[in-house]
Amino acid sequence: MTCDQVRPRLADYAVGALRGRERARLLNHVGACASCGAELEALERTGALVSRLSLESAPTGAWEAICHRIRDEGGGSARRGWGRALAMAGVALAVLIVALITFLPTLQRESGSPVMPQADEDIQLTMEAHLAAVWSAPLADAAAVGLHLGSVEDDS
Amino acid sequence: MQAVVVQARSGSVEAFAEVYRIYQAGVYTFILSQVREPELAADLTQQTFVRAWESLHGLRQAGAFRGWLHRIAANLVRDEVKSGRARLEVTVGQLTDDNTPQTPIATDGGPEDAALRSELRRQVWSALKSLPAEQRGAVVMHHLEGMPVSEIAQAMGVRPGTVMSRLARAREALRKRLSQYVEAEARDM
Amino acid sequence: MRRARLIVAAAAFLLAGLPWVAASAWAKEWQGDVPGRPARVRAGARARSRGAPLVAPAAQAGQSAWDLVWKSETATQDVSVRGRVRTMVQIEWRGERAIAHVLAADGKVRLNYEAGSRRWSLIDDGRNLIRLRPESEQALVLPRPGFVIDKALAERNYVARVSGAAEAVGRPVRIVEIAPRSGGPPVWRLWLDRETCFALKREGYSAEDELATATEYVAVEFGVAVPPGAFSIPAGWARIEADGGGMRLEPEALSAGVGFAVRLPRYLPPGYVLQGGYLRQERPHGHARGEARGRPGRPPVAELRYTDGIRVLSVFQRQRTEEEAQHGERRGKGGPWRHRHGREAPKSRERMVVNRGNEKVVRYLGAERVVIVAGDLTEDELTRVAKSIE
Repeated sequence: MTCDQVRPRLADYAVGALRGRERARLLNHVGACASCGAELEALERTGALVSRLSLESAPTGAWEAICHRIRDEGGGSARRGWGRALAMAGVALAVLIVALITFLPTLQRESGSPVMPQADEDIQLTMEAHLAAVWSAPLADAAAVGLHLGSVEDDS
Repeated sequence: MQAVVVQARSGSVEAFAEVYRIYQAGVYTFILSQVREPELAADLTQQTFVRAWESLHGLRQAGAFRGWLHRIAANLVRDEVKSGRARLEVTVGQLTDDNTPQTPIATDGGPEDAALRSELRRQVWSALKSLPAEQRGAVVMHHLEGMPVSEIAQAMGVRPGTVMSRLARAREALRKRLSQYVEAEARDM
Repeated sequence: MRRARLIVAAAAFLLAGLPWVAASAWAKEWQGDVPGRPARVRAGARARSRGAPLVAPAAQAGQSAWDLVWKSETATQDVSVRGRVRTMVQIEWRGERAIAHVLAADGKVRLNYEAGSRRWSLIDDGRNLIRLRPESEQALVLPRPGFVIDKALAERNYVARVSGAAEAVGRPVRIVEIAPRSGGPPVWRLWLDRETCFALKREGYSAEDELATATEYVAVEFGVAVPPGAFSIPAGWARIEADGGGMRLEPEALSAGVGFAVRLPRYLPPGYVLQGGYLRQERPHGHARGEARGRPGRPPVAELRYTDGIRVLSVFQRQRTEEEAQHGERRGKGGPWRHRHGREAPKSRERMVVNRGNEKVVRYLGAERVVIVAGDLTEDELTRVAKSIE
């Protein structure tokens, strides 16, 4: 291997990305070439330098804030059961509310509200056209593109 | 560490407090490397742990916890960036000292040495911040937190080969940017 | 007022319930090896495969990887297929998942989707993409674009190789990988049935090398009978026509059609060539075949379609309307517009990016025109294309 071939791969070697023959050939070259050897050492020293940085601790009071939130939402194994039951009830009602929110605009559209922002309308129509083209392109994953199309439509 | 996660998973807030104590610095540092403002990083760190608590019962393998936790953090950062509330990219021209973490570089010497190390720390962080976000994240997880490539791959949702590629490109860029310090280290050895 | 109070009161339950649901769904996503990565196909009790060998295996000896790929593209011309798939598409940072029951024959496809409580169907009858909405008995008909498959272009820009052998749905398969010729990891992985070359599993990777789409058969039968009407709109359903862009136009003809000079992007990613232009305009009310979509009076949009043989790059441009020029962009009325994925309506801004898995959209607001670029490229590439039009 020449220096021109080895140089671009030195960093890959330094991070352990090279395997097998390529790794062996690079090592052979580095062993015989002072310049590439020096560069590899420099890359390794760079890594060591960065590794000496220590982690930064989160500001004090962060755990208290977290604890407050999780206890509010129902921490502890006994409360998990209750939390889950409440959540299920919440979900059922949530589905109802989402349905209301979804259909209210449809019902109200004749009276002029809500109206999709221009940007979203642009995106929805162009995405639909684009996905139709993707569908027709080679190697199209029809099932996934169809799912994607269904998602775009749902945004209307 | 896995035992603590298992205990936390069964609903113990005390165990989760221990989980927080073990992993908070890694998560906060990772998020701080991605967003510019420490306050936002602190807020996202809190959200990360709250969300982890909420989802913990669904985590099958306690051993995958660290990568999983970082995945939550990465997704929250991505949401913030997409919402426009945070900027991810930091161009070289915008680098300042303001948000450089006050993390020490391991030092053996006295005050003079500490001042030198402080400057070195600032330069290394500055160099780190000049990297693209994906490379930066990989470097923080690998070099500062000691996460193996497979865990980083899980955290980032990419293949291990991609992680190594990011680490390699980051290494090259850092080598150039920190060349005077790298040479200085060689002379000191 | 009462309705508002009901909504507010229920929102409290919403807050209690949704985090758990979201967390559960999210946690479930993680329960695979990597978020978004589907579980491996389980050969065994749940995986069924029936049918005698239909194509002599000897016919495939000596075939190149590309031969296999192109044969897989037309596999259902030779053999009908019925099955069930698990499919995933990465949207934003989550994987959207569904089960689909598949029927494919003579190049036509029908997919009956189940995603949670949602049910809908998609039919490709060879001329149209038809979405069936059972809850409203509506069929949304989108003419299929006439995409010209250029094998030479694909083979110029990509390399295909057989990377291994495996089993899928209890059937032996060859794994074929397609990667950019310029280098980099594969963008497609196909598990091709040894006998029929039918793709029993696919993985697509985004420009960021993340798993973007994945589909695998969990049950499959070959050589099935096709029930009558399988690829048709059920009788009595409302038919809603969508604009398919019409015939392919050269840029000059397209400019004449939209009423402004269509500009070609000065920058294109390597390997992409222009397939053609298409005029998009929502049909006005009163169209003979049914109800129109979108707002009447929407300005016409010029679409330029590019391809590198495999991927599609769609470049749309329209003029800013007088209303937009005077009053700024329409932000939406009647309250915040919420997408199904919970994203708020964007504030007006110069650039907007929608990351829909491997197909991203960048909308760029220029001084005179709005440019929207969609494709399986990085955000930077798409933005560069968009900006090169102004």
